[in-house]
Amino acid sequence: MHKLDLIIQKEGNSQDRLIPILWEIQKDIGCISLDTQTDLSKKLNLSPAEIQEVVSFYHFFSEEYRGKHQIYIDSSIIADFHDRNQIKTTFENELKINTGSVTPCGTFGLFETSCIGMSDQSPAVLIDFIPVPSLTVEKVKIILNSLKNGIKLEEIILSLGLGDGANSSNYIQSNINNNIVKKGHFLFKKWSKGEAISIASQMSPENIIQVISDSGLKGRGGAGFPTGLKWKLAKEVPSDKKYIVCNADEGEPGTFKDRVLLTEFIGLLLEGMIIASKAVGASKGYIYLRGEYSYLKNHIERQILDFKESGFINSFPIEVFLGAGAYICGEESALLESLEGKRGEPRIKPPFPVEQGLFGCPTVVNNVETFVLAAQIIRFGHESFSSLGTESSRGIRLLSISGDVEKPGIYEYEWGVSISEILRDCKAIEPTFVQVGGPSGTMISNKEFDRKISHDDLPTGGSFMVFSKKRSLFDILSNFMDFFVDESCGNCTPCRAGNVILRDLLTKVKTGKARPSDLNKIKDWGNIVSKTSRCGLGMTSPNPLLTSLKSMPEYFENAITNKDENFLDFDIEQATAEYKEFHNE
Amino acid sequence: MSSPKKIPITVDGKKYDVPKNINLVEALSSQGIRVPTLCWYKGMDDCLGTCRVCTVNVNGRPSAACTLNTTEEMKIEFDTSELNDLRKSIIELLFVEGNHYCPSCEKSGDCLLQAEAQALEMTHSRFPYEFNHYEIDYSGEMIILERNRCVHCKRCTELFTNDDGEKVFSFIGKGKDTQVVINKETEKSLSKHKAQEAMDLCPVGAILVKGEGFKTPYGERKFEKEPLWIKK
Ligand SMILES: Cc1cc2nc3c(=O)[nH]c(=O)nc-3n(C[C@H](O)[C@H](O)[C@H](O)COP(=O)(O)O)c2cc1C
Ligand code: SF4
Ligand code: SF4
Ligand code: FES
Repeated sequence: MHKLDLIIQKEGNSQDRLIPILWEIQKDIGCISLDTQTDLSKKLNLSPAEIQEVVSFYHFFSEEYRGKHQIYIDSSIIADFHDRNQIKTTFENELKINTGSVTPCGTFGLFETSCIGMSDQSPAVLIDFIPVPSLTVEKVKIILNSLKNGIKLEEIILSLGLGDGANSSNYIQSNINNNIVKKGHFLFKKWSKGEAISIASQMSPENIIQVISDSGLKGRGGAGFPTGLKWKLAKEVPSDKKYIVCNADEGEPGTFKDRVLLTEFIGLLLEGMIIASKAVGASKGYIYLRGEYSYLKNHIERQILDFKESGFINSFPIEVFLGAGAYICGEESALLESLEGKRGEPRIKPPFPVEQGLFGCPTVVNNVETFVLAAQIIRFGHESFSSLGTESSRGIRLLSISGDVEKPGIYEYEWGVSISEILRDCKAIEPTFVQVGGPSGTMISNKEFDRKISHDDLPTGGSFMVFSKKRSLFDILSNFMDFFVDESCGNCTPCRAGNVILRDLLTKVKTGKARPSDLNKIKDWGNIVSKTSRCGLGMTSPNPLLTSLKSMPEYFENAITNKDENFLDFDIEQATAEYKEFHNE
Repeated sequence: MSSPKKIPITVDGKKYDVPKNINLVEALSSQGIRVPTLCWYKGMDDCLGTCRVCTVNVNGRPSAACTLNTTEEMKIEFDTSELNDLRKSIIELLFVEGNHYCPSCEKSGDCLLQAEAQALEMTHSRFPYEFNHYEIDYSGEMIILERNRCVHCKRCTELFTNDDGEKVFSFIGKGKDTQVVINKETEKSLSKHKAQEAMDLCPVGAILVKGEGFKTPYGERKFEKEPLWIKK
């Protein structure tokens, strides 16, 4: 049978299977050519254009061949500051190609991609979608030589000792460190399989929702929406079908806590989802796993099977759905579009997913950590959680700490902890700036280290990046703006066009070409993008610029070398050279 | 049928009674308040919410008016200097993102971007021009796709189909590289009438019917006869 037919036979031919089908083709053939798209369109009863719309949206799908071994270099700022360029150059020199291309023999393809969730063991790359962390120039050479000699990647990683691989599962095809540095007293209470589900089975849906509400749990994906209320709203909408979706897209640069939760706390995650399904009356669950974490898919599926065999999920199947490289698919409505097999463009809200979510049905979308915490809350009661943290921010918060620190990794804190305490714990090295909450969060300077992690001071989705005094503020900001320009979905004007303009403006400041009035432009234009954008991406993309300009204007002022507003910074001879040549002057 | 229930809303501090659960732009328009729009037009079923030119404050938060329906006690801010400027800035963004040379454009006078720019008294763009490069697609049977002028409103990709209900236009790429493409197969079968419909649907001069561009002489075009800025 033709390969495509086999794939479709396995996946089915409805549009919501499009992304899994495209993944299989991409992995199998190394590309999804226009011819393949045409073939596929006939079999799926879509137009070729509808398939191209999707293929061209996702970073890991490609019309051109990406090579037998596909290498993706992490382009996050943390990787940048861990000699990423040296690693990149080594790959380029060894393979004799530029980034963004494939070797003539087709064996290797070298590309870049946004943060792959390995900031605690940077610089890292994905090779054939398996993370290879803690790279050095030497190791890159060994890896490439071994791959050329046909040695399997898993064996190479193992022999190089890149990570301890000490996670809870044999099904994870990678050797990375968990780096759990600070265990607090809530999340790390010992798990006993099925306990949370069994407690919940004695409770009514209203009761479950009440406990979650009383605990004060707010969503851990960044927006901080009260979880109990979300479940209640979904419960109240009458519908035959409802869905529970776990958002495991973890795309915010600098976060990797969901990566660790997915390996070390997968049981609690599944229990949290099952409890949510009981609370709202949902019949199916999805785990939307970012493509960068595809190496965890087997492990998660194995655990789901284990739960099934234990009789915990008879009427609530849970499916792992692989994203394909798009930060915007972490936005819940874009995620749902993606689950339906479409481009990940955010929907218009209202209606919210709890009213009309996946396939138009009420849907609860929660972050990985939210489900894990919910299961713990059911086990230990709402007070075990609400007694921790602060008034506005109850309970604990996992932080993914990276950058210029001696001990990068996962830290469990009560909300309300001060930046300086965190910096002490992780042994920060001459901390000068901290980016709280990833590029979409807040940049603070060392004058503000008494501020606190909380919903009313410094909210965060978990990313915590520390920068020492040898780092350039403008390098950091440029990396963030590049990220937003790359990851904007393109649907709305301010984010699509505005971020490009903000980036250009920043480049002007960075290269010393800005004039004093440009600083006001940063404020005004940033305000335009954040106020008029359609979704959270554009609403927050100016944050790093706006917050750093506010908290450390002196850096910006010092970057303006010429205060004369009307000074034109160009070489008249050079600018008119072509004209003169043409006119033989 | 009974007339729809009227509900009170506030716009810039003044109270109005408007039908419940109708599109906010239409509700405001019925009260003589013209909200600028680009992707939205009167009578459309679903809004697109892509251009953001209709941004107003609803209960203190900026929102695209065309994406909302009226609800009781809605508090709207519309005519403030900040909001007027926000809306204008989006039009300006579109002018620097694309390449709009109005005097030579087939759609000049019929173009909503141009008309809104005039209505919002835009004299220039505050943003530096990007001078982006866009390919013009002449390969269609009936249609020319002039991507320099596309404002990515998605009217054509979401709302337009041929007589068989098939899509003719789609969006490919992501972010600033998003572009409209023509589906050659379905475009072939368009009647001239249908092609003209696509051209009329496009708010700017990005979709053109071959040979029809300058049929209506300048001076007799839609917004030349009825400019948006003339308050009725
Ligand atoms: C651009 C963007 C990216 C996002 N990425 C994620 C993500 O990777 N993981 C996540 O849980 N939430 C993410 N969110 C937040 C989700 O939209 C949503 O609020 C969240 O998944 C809800 O779950 P919670 O209530 O448990 O936090 C993102 C939001 C935006 C605007
Ligand atoms: S804000 Fe950005 S990511 Fe969100 S819809 Fe608009 S273009 Fe897409
Ligand atoms: S071609 Fe016209 S209708 Fe289509 S997206 Fe562009 S501006 Fe809108
Ligand atoms: S008219 Fe409202 S977003 Fe375009």
